[in-house]
Amino acid sequence: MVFNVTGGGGTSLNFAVKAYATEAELLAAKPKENTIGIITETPITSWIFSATEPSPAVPGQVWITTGTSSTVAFNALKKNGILVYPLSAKQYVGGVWVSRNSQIYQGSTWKSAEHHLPLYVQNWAKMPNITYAYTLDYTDDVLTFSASKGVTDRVEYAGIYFTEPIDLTNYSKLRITGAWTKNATAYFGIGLTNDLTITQITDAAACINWSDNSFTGEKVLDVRALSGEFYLVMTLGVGDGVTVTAKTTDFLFEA
Amino acid sequence: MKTIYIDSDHRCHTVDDGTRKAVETDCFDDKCDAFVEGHCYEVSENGVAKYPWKPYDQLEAAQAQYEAMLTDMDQAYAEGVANA
Repeated sequence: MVFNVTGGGGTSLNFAVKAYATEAELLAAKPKENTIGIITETPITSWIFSATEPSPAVPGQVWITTGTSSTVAFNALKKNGILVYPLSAKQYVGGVWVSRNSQIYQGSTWKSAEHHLPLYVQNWAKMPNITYAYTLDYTDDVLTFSASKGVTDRVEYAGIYFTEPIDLTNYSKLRITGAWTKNATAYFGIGLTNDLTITQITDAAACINWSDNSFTGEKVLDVRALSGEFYLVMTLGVGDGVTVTAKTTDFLFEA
Repeated sequence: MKTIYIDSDHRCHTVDDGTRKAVETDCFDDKCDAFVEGHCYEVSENGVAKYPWKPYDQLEAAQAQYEAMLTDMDQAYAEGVANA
């Protein structure tokens, strides 16, 4: 849905668009429901909702990107339902679209658009070229990916990928929450790739890998420079006599 | 393995200007300088992260151009040897 208006909105609109100079200023504000706050010091001349890049672009214009789903969807009009699925915001400054931090005021709190990946086992498949044996289980909202190995002369790698590619165009971060445990030399990797033939996680477009001892918490990966569809990949590397387990409770893509 | 140089913003460089940290990694084996320099390499409590800071499609295009050039050079060399 495309709207192209100047100013903060009319009486028939169920939302508003407002600039705030800083995040602190935004968070302190309590505007009306569905106010989209854009953190910018550049005056907003107009705003537009669009899934694709607006053309022609207007200096100072804010482009609110939309998708087919959003955790902060809202009705654009006070009467009748025109659902809008906002994801992120950009502003046309100096001839280019510049990403702007943005949040929407809903239910008396500021929120960002985000996407949680469903963790079910059937959503994952073995990587074609990272093929060591593994087990995969989904119980009590936890995806458990595990591999073990007896004594051999090398580290073996198991890899899985989420079978539905994710359009990363409007996301800036991937936040992974879980618990990773191992009893000896082992390697964990999480990455995003547009090439499923890769043979190691470091060949992914963006990746994070580690070999800590047991760790529980969050890992964060910057995906701002990735646009288009990518596959989420997880790998486990197991050394001699090792059992390694990755228990993931959340993959969260943030705008 | 390749030595790359990391600045304070975690951005990768192929040369050291005296302020950057040298790191040995196999993440960028066989990659051209433009590809390397469009990435960040970050060692933290999160682990080791590698991610692009320049649009990834541009980096892939630069790498493809580099590999095509290498192929052309290999072919020219082979023809030169064959005709010697």
